[in-house]
Amino acid sequence: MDGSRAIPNYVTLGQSNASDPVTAVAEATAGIDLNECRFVLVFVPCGLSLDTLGPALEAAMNGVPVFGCTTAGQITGDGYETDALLLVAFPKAHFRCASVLFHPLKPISIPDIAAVAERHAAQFRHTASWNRLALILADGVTKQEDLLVSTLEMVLGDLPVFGGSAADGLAFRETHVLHGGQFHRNAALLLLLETDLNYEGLEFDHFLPTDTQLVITDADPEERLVFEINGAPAAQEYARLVGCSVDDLCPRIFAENPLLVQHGKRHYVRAISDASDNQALSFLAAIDDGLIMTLGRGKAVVETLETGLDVCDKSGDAPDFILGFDCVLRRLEIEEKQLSRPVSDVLQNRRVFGFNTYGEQHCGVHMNQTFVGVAFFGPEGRSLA
Amino acid sequence: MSLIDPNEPPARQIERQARIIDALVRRASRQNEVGISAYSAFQSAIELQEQVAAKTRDLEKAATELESVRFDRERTRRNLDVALSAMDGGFALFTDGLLNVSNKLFQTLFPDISDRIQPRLSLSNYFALLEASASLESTDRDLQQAVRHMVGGSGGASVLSVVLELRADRWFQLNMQRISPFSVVLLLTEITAIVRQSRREREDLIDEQADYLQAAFENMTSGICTFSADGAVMMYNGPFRELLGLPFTVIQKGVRFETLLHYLRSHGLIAHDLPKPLTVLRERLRSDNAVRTRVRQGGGRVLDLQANLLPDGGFLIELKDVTLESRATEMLENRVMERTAELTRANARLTEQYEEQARVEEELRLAKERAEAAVSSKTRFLAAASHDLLQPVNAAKLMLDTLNERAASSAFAPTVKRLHRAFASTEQLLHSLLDISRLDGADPDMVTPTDVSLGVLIKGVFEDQMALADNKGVRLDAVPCSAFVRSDPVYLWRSVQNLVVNAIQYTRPGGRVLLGCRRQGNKVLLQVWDNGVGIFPQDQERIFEEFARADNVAPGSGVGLGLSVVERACRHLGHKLWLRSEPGVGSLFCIEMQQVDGTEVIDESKGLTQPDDDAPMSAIAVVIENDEDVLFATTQRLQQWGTAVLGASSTEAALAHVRDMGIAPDIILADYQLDGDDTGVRAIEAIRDLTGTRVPAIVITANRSETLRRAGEDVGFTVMTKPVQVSRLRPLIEWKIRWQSPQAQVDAPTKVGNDSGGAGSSLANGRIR
Repeated sequence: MDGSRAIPNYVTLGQSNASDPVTAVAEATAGIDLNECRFVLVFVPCGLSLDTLGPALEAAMNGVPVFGCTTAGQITGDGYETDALLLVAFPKAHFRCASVLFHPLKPISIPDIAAVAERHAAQFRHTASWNRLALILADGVTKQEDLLVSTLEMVLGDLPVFGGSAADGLAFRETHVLHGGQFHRNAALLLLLETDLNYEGLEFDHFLPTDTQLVITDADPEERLVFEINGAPAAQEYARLVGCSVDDLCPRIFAENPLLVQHGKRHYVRAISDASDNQALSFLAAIDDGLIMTLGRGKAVVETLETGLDVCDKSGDAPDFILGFDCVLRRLEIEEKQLSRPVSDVLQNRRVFGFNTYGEQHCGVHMNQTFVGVAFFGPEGRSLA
Repeated sequence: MSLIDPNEPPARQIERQARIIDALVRRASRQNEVGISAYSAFQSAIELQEQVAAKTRDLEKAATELESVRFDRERTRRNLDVALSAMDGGFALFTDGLLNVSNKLFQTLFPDISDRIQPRLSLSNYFALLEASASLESTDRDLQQAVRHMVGGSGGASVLSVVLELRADRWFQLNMQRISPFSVVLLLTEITAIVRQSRREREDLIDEQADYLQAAFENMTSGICTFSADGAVMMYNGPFRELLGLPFTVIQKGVRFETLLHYLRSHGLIAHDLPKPLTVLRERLRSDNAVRTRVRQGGGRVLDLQANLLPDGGFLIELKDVTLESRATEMLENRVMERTAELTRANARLTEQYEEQARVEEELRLAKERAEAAVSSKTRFLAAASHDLLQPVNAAKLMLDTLNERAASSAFAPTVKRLHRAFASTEQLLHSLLDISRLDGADPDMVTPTDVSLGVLIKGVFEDQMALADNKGVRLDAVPCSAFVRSDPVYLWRSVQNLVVNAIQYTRPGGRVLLGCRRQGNKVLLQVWDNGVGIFPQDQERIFEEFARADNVAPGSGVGLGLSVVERACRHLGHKLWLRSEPGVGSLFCIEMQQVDGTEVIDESKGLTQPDDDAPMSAIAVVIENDEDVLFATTQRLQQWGTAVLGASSTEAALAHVRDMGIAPDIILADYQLDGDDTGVRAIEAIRDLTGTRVPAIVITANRSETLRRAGEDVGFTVMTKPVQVSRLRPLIEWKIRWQSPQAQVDAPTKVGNDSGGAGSSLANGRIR
């Protein structure tokens, strides 16, 4: 926990900040022993040519499967980065996997998805005393994550699904997932994993509800667009509620002032990605007409992160590493508050590797402005001090 | 904050309220619709999630409980598995008395009944088969009875264990356990290894100990035999039997101690005494724990016997052959005794020898005393003879002087001169004889080392021998010298004189003799050179012997005692004497002496005026001389010098003359040795007493002893040795009268003078270069 440059035991990292895809691949794969490698996750920064990168990766991997997506930032061994090609190699000794690409994602065919997922899960051979989980990397702008993950949750039963939505910086235009050496738009990648390591799912945000409530009076739930709030144009009313002018609305404001929906005793964040010219607000998660929402207020982000990551296994040991799906809006807020370095330090100390998403999936629920992660521990009875 | 912006106009506010209500109603009514929308999916997902979460919590709780139950069960099963596998033996479960389950070993252990062991075999039948099996050798208890006990008695023992011995030394343990009222478990465990090992260990242990003990016993050089408490042989070794000469038939395990003893006695294997009867031995062992004694066997063998009590009340007898040791001891003792005897004898011999030696020593001492006495008497005789001979020679010389003067111009002159020379030779010979006899004597007074002035000595000798040299036609020279040496003045004088005389004698007329000294460090070499005939090397040692004469010397030239005297004197004085000579060239005689710091002695004749031979010496002299001839000669000589002489032969006569005369004489001339015990010294003292005057006195004597010289110092007289040299006598008399007469007597101390001392030097004048 206290190592400033703690190296995980059960995965190997490769990284390159080169702008040329071929060079970046060469640099990032240099330290990875592909012979011992089961599969590789790759998190792609904005700006690399995907047409070149895909084949380069495929060639460099020498037959080892590589999966990944485009991102809005990477969590590397040094914390937050924006232009790093990050490779996380999972060794054969501890991991097995099976992959499914759902394409196209929109229009979504829930029965198809359910059938394919079910079949693959059934075919994925079970190894005694190994643990199973599923990772989902979905297109971040097709707005199908809610239906996708709830379907998967239903089909896969006791297999927990964790994941993040692919991103393209802060553009919110085109996101890709990598599968079979190619980057795909309008697609989602499901990875079924089996490991002898123990894991634990993490999910937390850093918001509390305020007293301010609002009612969505006109919306397009399919497109996650809200046209009217409290009977008034949405952007205008949102600006009034958060205390700024319509012209000031920007990702930073959205990041700091999310809207929450309450269910039972819990609040779920519904993040706003954009305000359109016609006063409509574009959301990153499912909304509905007539929905009562609550304005959220931020908590200390560093402390909640630290608390959220502070998990341990039965032996009291800290995770060997944490695969992290961290919402880009959190990152925006963190950068706005100039907390990048302390947060990076925390991420680094906790050995968190992953990327900044357009949305996070945790056990069938698609959310925004949260941190979803999977903490991997050493195998039971093999405490690695 | 209210839902509706209060700043809006009321109409707008109302409109918005309406829209809100509308939206809420729409949504509420949509809740019942069936269909899938994204939000409903989300909603159902989170509902599901919550339900799942709740169920998961319940499940986890249940799972935890289940897990612990399962774990316990697993553990139990594992333990059971382990236990069963650890049994490594046959297993069978009989339910309701019939065989239910069994394993392979159980079925095949007894090959001849294996085909009969089938399910539903009754327990009793199984045991019946077992008992009948050819493979079964024995059991440790009755099987049938055990089975009846087990099967019948429900309240009886639930566990039964039987040991089965199979063929080929295989061993099994049959465990029968009632695990429920209906079922019985049979276990067959192989215990062959355990049985064999324990048996082997037991055997090995016993064998090993016995072997070890026996080996230890056998390897001991001493004979050992242990007896039980009641005196029976338990264990013995070879040496024990051999030492005692017991046949195998007699010494056996269990044989009684008394039997052994009896055998030994009756066969004469033990000379007499021991071992004591058993009871006595025991008694002593009990009190002392150990008994040690020595046993003598026939044939001179000696055994050392030691008996020790053993913990079980028995005892151990240890025998050692100590024949050699005891023999060695005896031999040593004998040898010591012999040595002691030898030593005693040697001691006696030594004592005898010592006594003999003492006796011899005593005899030697007596002989020595006798010899010394003889030598002494010889020396005394010789001294006396010389002395007595000197008296007449003295008288003759004095008379010859007188005659010489009177017959100077007569025709007898040459005869008188030759006569004079003959007497001079005789006198010298006598002097030498006297010297030799004295030097050979053991008189410690003989030599008296004092500081001697060589200058005075050389001058004296030179002057004395001037005339001799002139006569011979040899030139005599002397080199003056101021050195002092430690020596006896009389003998040194004599030695030098002899060397000079000798040199003159052996130098042809026209030759030269040189007398002088040379310093060499702190030594002084007194040398006499001549260019005479020289001495052949073969004669150079011999010439110092008495009466020796070199071959190149014409006979009759000298008696040959001179060098002998020199040699003796130098030996006594510790001076080194050597010579260098070459025939035809000359000789050098050298006396090497230690130089000392000396001061010039005040010469008592200093200031002595040149005597006038012709001027009459008018004085009254008392001459005391018991030899009539000498008295006559002396009287005549003195009267010739114009002196009035009162001659006396004894002290009394002299005293009579002095009384008659009424005045003290001017000088006393006294012979030392007078008749009887009368001496010149006594006469001098008597006259001085009588006259009350310290009359100057001269004692003339042949006695050259130091004693007299000292007496002269004490009493106050000058000693002149015989024969008197007239040339020296007159100046001495004149000097004494002038300086020592009572009138002239200042307190000048009486000085010792003699015939060489002052008188010679007083004559020092122009004749020395």
